[in-house]
Amino acid sequence: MLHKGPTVYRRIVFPTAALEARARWKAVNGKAGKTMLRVRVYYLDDQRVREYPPALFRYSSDPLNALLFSRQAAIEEAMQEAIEATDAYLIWLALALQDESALLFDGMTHFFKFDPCLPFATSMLYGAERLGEWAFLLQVGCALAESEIYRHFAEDARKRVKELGAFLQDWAYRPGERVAEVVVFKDADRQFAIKDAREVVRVLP
Amino acid sequence: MRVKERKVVRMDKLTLVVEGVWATTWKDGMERGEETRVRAIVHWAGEKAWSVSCITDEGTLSPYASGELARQYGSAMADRHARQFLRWLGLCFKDDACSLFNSLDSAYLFNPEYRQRPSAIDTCWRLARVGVIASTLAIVFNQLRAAVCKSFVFEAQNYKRYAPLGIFAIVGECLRNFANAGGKELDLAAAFVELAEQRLKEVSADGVSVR
Repeated sequence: MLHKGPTVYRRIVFPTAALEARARWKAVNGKAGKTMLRVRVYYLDDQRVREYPPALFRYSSDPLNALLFSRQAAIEEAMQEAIEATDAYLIWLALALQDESALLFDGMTHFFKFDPCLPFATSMLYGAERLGEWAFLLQVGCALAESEIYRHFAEDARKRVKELGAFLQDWAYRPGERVAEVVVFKDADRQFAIKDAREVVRVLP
Repeated sequence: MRVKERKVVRMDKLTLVVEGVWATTWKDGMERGEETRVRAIVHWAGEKAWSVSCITDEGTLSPYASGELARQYGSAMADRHARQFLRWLGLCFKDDACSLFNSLDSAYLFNPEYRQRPSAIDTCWRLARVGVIASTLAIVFNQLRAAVCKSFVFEAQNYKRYAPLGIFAIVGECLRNFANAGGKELDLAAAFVELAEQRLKEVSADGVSVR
C-alpha cells in the first residue's frame, strides 16, 4: 500500500521574498487518491513564512493502479501527479503575469469544469469552489511577483513582470525533477535577470 | 455600524436562516470601509444549529457613512444580498447552471470576455470570491435538498402526484418567488403545495404540462 507520494517543490526566489508551490499525491482510501497544492511565501527580510489554504488539484487512482506492477512504479506515478499539479500552477501563474486573462479563464474553467452548459448546477458549484481555491493561490503568487518586481526593478516594472511570465511559461515543464528553482535577481550590471537556480554561479563571500 | 436582515425558510425539520449582514470595517481607529456578508444558519430540529458564511461584497465606505441614512443603506444592502443568495439557491434547485453562471458573472464580473482589458490579478480575485460563494451555496443547497427529500413531498402518494411537475424545480421557483417578493419568512412546504397544486390545475385545464 502506498500512503503518500514524494513532494514536488517549485520555487521562485525574489530579492526579498520567495514563492514556493509544493504538491503531493496522497491516498484517500484503498481505492483512490488526491493531489493537493500548497503555496507558501517566505519573507526573507524578516524571516517570516506564510502558508495559504491548500487547493485540490484532482483525484487520481493511477499510483494505486501502478502498485500492481511495482512499488517504484507507483511512486513514480504519484510524483508525476504532483509534478502536473505544480506545472499547472506555474503555467497559470505565467499566464496571469502576462495578463492573459482570457486564456487563464478558459484554461481554468475547462480544467475545473466550471461550465454553464453542465446539466447539474451542483457540478458547476463544485467546479467553482475548486477553481476559487486555485484562483486565490494564483492571486497570491501574482501579487507577490508584482510587488517584488515593482519594489526592486521599478523601471519598466510592467515589462519585467511580463518577462517573468514568459520565462515561467517555458520553464514550467520540468520532467522528473523534484525540486526546481527560479531566481530573479540584479546581475553584475544591476539589471533585471531571471535564471534557473542551477545556472546561477554562487559567489561565496 | 452593523445591520442585519434575516430571511427564514422552514422545511419540515429544517429551519434555514439566511442573514445578510452589512457592517462598516475599521482600520487605524477609523471607519474606512464596508462589507456585506451572507450567513446561513442551518438548524435541524433537535440538533445544534451551525452556520456558514461568506463575504459577498466589500469596498470603501459609501458617502452615507453615519446616522439613519447609513442604517437604511446598510439594511437595503443586507436585504439585497440575502435575497440574491436565495435566488441563487433557487437556481440551484432548478438545475439552471446557465442562469446561475450568468447571474454570478453579472454580480462579480469574473468572465474576462465581457470586460475591457481586465488585469489577471483582478480576474483571479473575482474568481476566488465566486469560489467562496459557490462553496457556501453548495453547503446550504445540500442541506435544503436533504430536508426536501426527507419531507412529506417524498412520501409515496405525494411523490406520485408531484414528481411529473419536477419537485426540485418547483422548490426552486418557490425560493425565487420568495426572494423577489422580499418577505421575511417562508413556509417552504406550504408554498410548495400551493404552487404545485396551481400547476396541476393548469396542466389538467389544457392537458399540457406548463413546465
